[in-house]
Amino acid sequence: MRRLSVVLVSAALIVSCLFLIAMQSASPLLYSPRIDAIADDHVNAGALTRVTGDRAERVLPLVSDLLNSPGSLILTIKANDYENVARELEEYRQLSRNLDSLVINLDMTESEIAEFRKANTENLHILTELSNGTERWEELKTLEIRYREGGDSQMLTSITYEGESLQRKIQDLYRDYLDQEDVMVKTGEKFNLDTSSYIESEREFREIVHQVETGQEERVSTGAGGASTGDDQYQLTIDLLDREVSYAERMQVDGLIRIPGGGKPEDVDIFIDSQKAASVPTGVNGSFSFAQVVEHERAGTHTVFAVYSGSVFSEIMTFVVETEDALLILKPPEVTESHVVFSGALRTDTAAVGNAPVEILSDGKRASTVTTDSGGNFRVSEKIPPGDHTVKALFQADSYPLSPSESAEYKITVPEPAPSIERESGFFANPLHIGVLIASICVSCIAAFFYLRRRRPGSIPVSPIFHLPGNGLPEEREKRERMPISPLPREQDEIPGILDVQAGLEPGMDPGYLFSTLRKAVSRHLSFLHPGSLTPRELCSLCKNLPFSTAVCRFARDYEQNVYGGQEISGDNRETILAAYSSAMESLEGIDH
Amino acid sequence: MMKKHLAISTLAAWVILVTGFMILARTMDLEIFFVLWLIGILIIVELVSDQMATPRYLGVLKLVIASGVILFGVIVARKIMEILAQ
Repeated sequence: MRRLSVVLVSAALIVSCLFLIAMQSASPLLYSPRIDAIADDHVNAGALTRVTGDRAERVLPLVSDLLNSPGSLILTIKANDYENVARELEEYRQLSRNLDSLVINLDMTESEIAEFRKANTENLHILTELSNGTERWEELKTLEIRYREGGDSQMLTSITYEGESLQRKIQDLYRDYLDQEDVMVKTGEKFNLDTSSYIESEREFREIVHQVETGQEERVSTGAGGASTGDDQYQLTIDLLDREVSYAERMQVDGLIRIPGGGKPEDVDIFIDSQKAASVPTGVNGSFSFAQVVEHERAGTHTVFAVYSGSVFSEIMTFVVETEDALLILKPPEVTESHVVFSGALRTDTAAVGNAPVEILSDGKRASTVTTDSGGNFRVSEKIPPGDHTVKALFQADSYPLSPSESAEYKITVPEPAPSIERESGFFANPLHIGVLIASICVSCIAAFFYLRRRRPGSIPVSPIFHLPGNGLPEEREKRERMPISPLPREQDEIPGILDVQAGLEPGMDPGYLFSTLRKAVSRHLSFLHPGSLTPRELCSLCKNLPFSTAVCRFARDYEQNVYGGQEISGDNRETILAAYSSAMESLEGIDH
Repeated sequence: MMKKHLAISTLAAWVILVTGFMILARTMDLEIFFVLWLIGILIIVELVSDQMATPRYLGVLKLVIASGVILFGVIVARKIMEILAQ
C-alpha cells in the first residue's frame, strides 16, 4: 500500500515536471524563419519576407479595426447616444492600447506603423473632445429652451457665448481630423484594407460641424445675445494685443468697463475657450488687463471674452496659437559602467521649453523619460544593458503648441560589467544576503541529515556487528529489554555471541526481526562488515558451501515466500519461518562451539 | 534484471528525457537540470530501497542525494538573493 502511494506520488511528480517543461517548449522549433532573419552569419531573403508577413498578419486586424472605429463612433455621436459613445470610446481606447502593445512586442520600427499609431492617438483625442463638446452642446440646447421660456436674457447670452466657443472648438477638431486622413488612409491602402468607412466618417464629422454652425447661427439670430451684450447702461469692451501668438509668447487682453454712475467697478472675469481663466481687478477708470504666457494651449483658434458681475458680457474675440518648431538637442551620451548619461536641451527659435517631457529611446524602445528644467535642459543617467545600441531623444509635444522633435541618433557600446572582487565583496557585504545564504545552507544541511537518518517504519536499524563483548549498542539493548522474555529456558553461557542476538525469541515474532538477527549472526560468523546490505538471497549465497548453508537458505526461501508474497502471514507460515530460523541458528551455534 | 541495473537505466532515461526537452525548448539551464535530476534520483532511490536490506550502492546514492539537497539549498539562496538585488 505504501509502495503504491509512493508510485502514485512519483508519477504525479514526473507528470508535473514534464508539464512544466512542455510549457516552456511552446515553440519547440530549433529552426524558424524568425531566427534565420536575425542571424548574423547569413541572410535568408525568403525568411525576411515571411517574418514581415507574420507581423503584418498580427497587426492587420487591429489596423482594420482602428480604421473602422472612428466611423462608428462619429455616427453614435451624431445620434446623441452618449451612453454608447462612452462604451465605444472605451473600446477604441482599448484597441489603441492593443496596437501599442503589439508594436512593442513585435519590436516593429516600421515608419508607417509609427505614423499610423501617432495619427490614431490624435484621432482618439479628437473624438474624445468631440464627444465632450457635442454633449455640452446638447445641454446648451436644453438650457436655452428653459431660459428662453423663463425670459432670462443674461443666461441666454452666456449660453450664446459658450456656444460660440464650442462651435470654434468643434471646427478646429474637424480640421485636425482631416489632417490625419493622409496617414490613416495611406496606411490602410498599403495593407489593402477597406478605408471607405474612415472616409465616410469625415463626411459624418462635417455634418456634425454643420449642425453646430447652423444651431449657433439660429441662436444668435433669435436675439439670445450678441457681440454687444449687457445692460445698455453698462459697456464692456476688450481688445487683444496680438491675435497670433506662439509658444512662450504673451497673450494679452486689455479691456474697459463703464458702469452707470461712475465709481470703481468690481473684478472682471476673463473666459478663454468658455473656461474661466482669471478674475482681474479693474482700475479707477474701469480699465483692466490680463496676460497669459502660452505654454500648454493647443495650436489653433481660441476664443476669449470678459464678463462683469455675471451679467455684462463683452464681445467674443479670437486669437490663434501657432505651431512652432521645437529643436531637441542631445549631446553625445557618456557611457560609464552599465550606465549611460544623456543630456541635452529642448528649445524653440526664441525660447527654452521648460518642464517638458523628453523620452530617451534605446533601439526604438523607451528607456527613460526625463523632464526639462526651466532653462529647457535635461540630464539623466540610465541603466542600459551591455551591447551595441542606437539611442536618441524624442519630444512628443502632446500638449504643447510645438511640433514634435527628434534629436540626432548616436551609436553607443555599453561594456559587459567585469565581475570584480569589489562587486563580490559588495554583494556579500550586505548582511541580508549573508543571512539568507547561511539560513538556506543550514536548512538544507538539516534536511540532508534527516534524510540520511530516516528509517522506514518497521525497518531495523543496522548496527555494527563488532562491539565489545557483552555490550551491544544502547539502542539494541533497549530494544531487547522491550522484547517479551522467552518462555524457553536457555543457557546464556553456552553461545554468548549468538545468544546475545537470540534473546527474547518467541513464536509469532516479527519475521523481519528474525531475518535481521540471522543476518547479523551470519555476518559475525563470516566477519562480513556490512550486514545491512544483504538481502535474503545474498545471505543464502554468502553461506554457499558452508555447513549451515542449507538451514540459512531454507530460512531465506521461507522468508521470501511469506514476506514478499503480498499476503498477510498466517500462523502456520510464521511457525515455519521460526522453525527455519531456529534450525539456522542452531547450526551456527554448533559451528561456533 | 537486477534492481541496481533497473535504477541506473531509469535514471539515465529520465536525464535523457529532461535534456531532450530542454534542447527542444532551447533553454539549457543547468540549475533546472540539476533540480530535475535530483527529483528523479530521489524517486528512484525511494522506489528501489528495501525495508530490510540497504545495498551499499544505495547507501552511496543516499549520500549523493544528501549532497544534492545541500547544493539545492545553495541554489535557492542564490535565487532569493537575485530577487532581493532587483
